[in-house]
Amino acid sequence: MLLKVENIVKHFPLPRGWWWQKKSKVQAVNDVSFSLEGGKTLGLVGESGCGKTTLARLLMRLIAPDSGKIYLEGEELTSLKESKLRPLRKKFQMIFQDPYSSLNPRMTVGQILTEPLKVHGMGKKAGYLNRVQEMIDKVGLSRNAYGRYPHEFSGGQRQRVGIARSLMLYPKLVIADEPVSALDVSIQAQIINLMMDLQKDMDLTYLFIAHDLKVVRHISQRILVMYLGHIVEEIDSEHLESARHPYTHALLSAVPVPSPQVARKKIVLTGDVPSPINPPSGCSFRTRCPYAQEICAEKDPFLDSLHDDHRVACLLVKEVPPFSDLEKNSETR
Amino acid sequence: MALILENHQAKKLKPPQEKSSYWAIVRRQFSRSWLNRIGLIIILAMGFVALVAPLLANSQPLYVRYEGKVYFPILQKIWPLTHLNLYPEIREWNFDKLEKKGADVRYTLVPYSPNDYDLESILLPPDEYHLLGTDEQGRDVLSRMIYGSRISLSVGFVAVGIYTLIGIIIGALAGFFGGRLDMLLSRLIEVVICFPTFFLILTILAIFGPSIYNIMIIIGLTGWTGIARLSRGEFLKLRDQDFVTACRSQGMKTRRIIFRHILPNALAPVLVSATFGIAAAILVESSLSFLGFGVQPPTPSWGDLLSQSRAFMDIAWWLTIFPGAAIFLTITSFNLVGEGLRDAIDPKLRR
Repeated sequence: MLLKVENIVKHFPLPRGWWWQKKSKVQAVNDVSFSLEGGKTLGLVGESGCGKTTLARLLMRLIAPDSGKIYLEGEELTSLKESKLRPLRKKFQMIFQDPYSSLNPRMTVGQILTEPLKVHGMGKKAGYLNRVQEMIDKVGLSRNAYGRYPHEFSGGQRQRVGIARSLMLYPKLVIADEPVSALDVSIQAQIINLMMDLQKDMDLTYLFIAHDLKVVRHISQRILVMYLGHIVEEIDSEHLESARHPYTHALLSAVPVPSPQVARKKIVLTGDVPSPINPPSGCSFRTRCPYAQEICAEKDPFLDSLHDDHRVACLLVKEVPPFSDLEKNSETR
Repeated sequence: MALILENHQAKKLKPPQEKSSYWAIVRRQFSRSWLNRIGLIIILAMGFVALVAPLLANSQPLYVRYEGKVYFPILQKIWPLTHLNLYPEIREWNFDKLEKKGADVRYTLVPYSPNDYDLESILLPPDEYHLLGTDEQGRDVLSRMIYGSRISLSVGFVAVGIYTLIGIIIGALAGFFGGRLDMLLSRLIEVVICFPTFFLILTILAIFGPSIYNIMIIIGLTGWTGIARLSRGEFLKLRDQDFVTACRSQGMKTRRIIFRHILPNALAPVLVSATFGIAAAILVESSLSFLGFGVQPPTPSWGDLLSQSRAFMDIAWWLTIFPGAAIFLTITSFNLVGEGLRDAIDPKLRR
């Protein structure tokens, strides 16, 4: 296993208004565990505010978790001090969502891409230019990009620069935090294909975060579905149609079908996402779940294996049919 | 070294086109307006005059050829050459007599030193010898103003230099690290803002005696609050940007993140504020000199010249008008440049 995450928790304390008030906190990431095999892509989906980005930042060790452990190639990261962690950082890098704020506007692309090499003292200085040019070629930018500034590029090109920067150190793991959400649909496909090519080329492992299940499904072998800080379902992307969690059903039904003949039954969730400051008791999804029963408010669900590669966190998993069955019903109707 | 090499190589790969670095764009934007250009030219000209003042106004000749030998008597008056005894024989020479004996004597543009009094030509209006007239001791006003510009500009630049440095450091610490340090430094800023600077300067000068260096130091130590607040805000804004997060995830040390990645982005608004600050500092110096707390006579400064001229205002207008105009022009120019810069760095106004 390249990456193994065990029971990681992150709560952000909120400043309390008055001294007699109870201290509250945002439960951003709650007891998340998963593992990721080298060379594979793990997708992470969930609506905004469900803790995806916090999880990414935890894995990047940009913020410290409250508890839990992260193992990268068997090495435990959460207990390491920043000075010890620094040399290891070249193994895991990040691609950011916003291609505008993620590049330093005062630096040329060449400078931006040379920085990681300098910081980690990779090889001889004389070789930097060649390595940077090689990476510029790899991500499909034109050769003269070296001396140009980020504002001279379009969003998609800037994202290519961001990808190039994350790959300069030849990392093992790349955490892509919604790398295509800020791009046009036509550009999205280009960037995704580029990422898939680079994965083959450089033997990369991706943790691909997005809120769009269609995109995640295209690039990932396995998919994690996150809701309000919890992982509610883990499933192979090939078997996505057999998803059992009602929240995954809702996400799946929102993916448009590219055929005018098929009338897909939309599962529209009612209400809003509950506040992560004060999540519902028991199953956090019960307030919007069409199958919810009394037991859901009383017992906490846990991520339980349904089959070998399929884990669901639902107390009523036996009563909820797979998504494909729902589909059949809607078509016959 | 590596950076120079890279740039060099980068140029080879890419034929030079229109420069598009941030400062190149700011420069283009700035020079769009002729007012900005004029302001900048005036400041540069003033700076040049102040820098080469002894070469512009000096009673020693620039160049003397006498009996086949060439001398540059002016060099004796230029620091640090004043310490060397360059031409021991020249000290006794009278250049007027020498000229009559057939020597080739060439003077500078203004052939008077600022403190050369000449009681036979007091309070002369501007004429072809004294371009801006003379004062009550027969000293050349233009020469005194040229030397005065050194005082005014150096007070402006040094004081603002000191407080910009302090302000950036304090603002950067407060903004980047946040939390308790930010709370502490922000309160410190608020305390210092409450100091009535001008009266503090008057008090300190009354205790330690009037000196231009005291003025610089006190303005420098009390004026940094605006810059600190500005750079605190910039750092606060920039430290959460993704490119800084990227730096951290690359394992960059905090020092490198602050100085190489955040500071260049935070500098532009600070620079604008500093430009206005120079104008303000010059004005403070002039006011203090006017009150007699600035440089001590006979050293000339613009405020001091104005102060001296009060007694002769009704009979010698040139004593008041020219130093006043110099102060006005300099401060206006700095303000014009400051405003131009402010507009040039504002992306909303960019066309």
